[in-house]
Amino acid sequence: MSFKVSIWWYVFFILSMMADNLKTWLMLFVMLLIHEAGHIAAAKKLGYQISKLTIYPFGCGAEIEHIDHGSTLEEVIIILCGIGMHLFYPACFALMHRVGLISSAYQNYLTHLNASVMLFNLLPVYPLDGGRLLDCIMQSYGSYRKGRTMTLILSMAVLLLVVVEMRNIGALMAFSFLFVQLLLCGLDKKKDCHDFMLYRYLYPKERPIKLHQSLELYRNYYSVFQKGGDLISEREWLHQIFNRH
Amino acid sequence: MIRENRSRSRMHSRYGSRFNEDHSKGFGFFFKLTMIIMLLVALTLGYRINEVKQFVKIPEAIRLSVKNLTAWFPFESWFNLKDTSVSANSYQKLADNYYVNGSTTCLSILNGVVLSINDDERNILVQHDNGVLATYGNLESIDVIAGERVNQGAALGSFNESVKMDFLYNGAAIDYLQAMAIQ
Repeated sequence: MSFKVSIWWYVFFILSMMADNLKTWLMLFVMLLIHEAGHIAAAKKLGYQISKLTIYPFGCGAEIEHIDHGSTLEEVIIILCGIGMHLFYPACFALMHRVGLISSAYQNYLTHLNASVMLFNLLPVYPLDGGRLLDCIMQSYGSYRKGRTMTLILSMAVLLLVVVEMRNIGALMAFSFLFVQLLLCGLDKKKDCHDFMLYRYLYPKERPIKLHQSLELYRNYYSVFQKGGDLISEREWLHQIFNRH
Repeated sequence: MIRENRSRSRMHSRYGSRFNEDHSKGFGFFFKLTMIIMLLVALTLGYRINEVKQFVKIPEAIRLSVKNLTAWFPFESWFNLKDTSVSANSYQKLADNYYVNGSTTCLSILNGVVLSINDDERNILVQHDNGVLATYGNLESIDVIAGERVNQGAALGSFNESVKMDFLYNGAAIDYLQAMAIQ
């Protein structure tokens, strides 16, 4: 697992140090690290590999290999393990207040900050946790490609709505970053679909069978295509594609 | 010459594999992490020492504009989770710098960061987001700790009859209404 800290993190660190706001900054950083540790622990438990951990000023990003290729239930578990961490923080803050580490006013402030972080993560914008949940819902009903397309369109709509409502400069910076990420996801969609097909070819697994006519793959089903009078299984089709040469 | 080369190649065959790519992968991570932590600690200490000793004098204008950056703190005001219509900032003037607010709880007039606390003189120094440096004095008890961020209307402490508030903006003393008017 490689570990990378974004250059903006250092910039924000120095600025918050000069603005005497270092305590809150470090608290937020620890909160986000524990959130990400929840994702990583769940992913490791379910047998996924983590390739990269990047730290941005307003969150961390763990690249879990094949997270959007396995079953949707596993992805939902991994995401909820990260978000669920935020439910423990208010109790931690109350304990810290009782011990005397933080004051009552600061406990209220941190609880409010924690709720904000959780709400931000639950926004249905694709690279965020909420967007991934939306992706899981879409792909458990539709095919991989169609589900992803719907997610990206809905994400873009939500992002534009949120940006119109926002007045905060920091939020606008974060959301413009998300906008770029979303565009990159849109550009990489074809490659993602190809990766998904390769994953299904290389790691076959027992799944419930779904009979349909379009040449699409489903995340939770083993596809059998009806072509004219013939039936072609997913494995035969993928074998034709990847063993041409 | 030949002997030297031979011994070097022998050394290489013995120790060469110790620092090759496969073995130094885990080491590189801890090396980088240690370096980052040391760099951050050095920066923090350097900045703190410079604040006291004034080796490099940072212009007041830049300092103030940086202080205002706390208003940009991520997540804090992205969602309006709190009812902002609470009239926490309704202080009435008694005498020169003495104010009352109808209760015995000293409330923060705006968002800000608690810079320092003076236990002997019973006062709190708060840097507000609009650049106003406020001193809340004449307090009975102090409920906050230095370095904490406070919202508008947060309870800073309690007072008996009145709270003594001094406001500084760009080095000049201003009164409560002027401090509230600065955006």
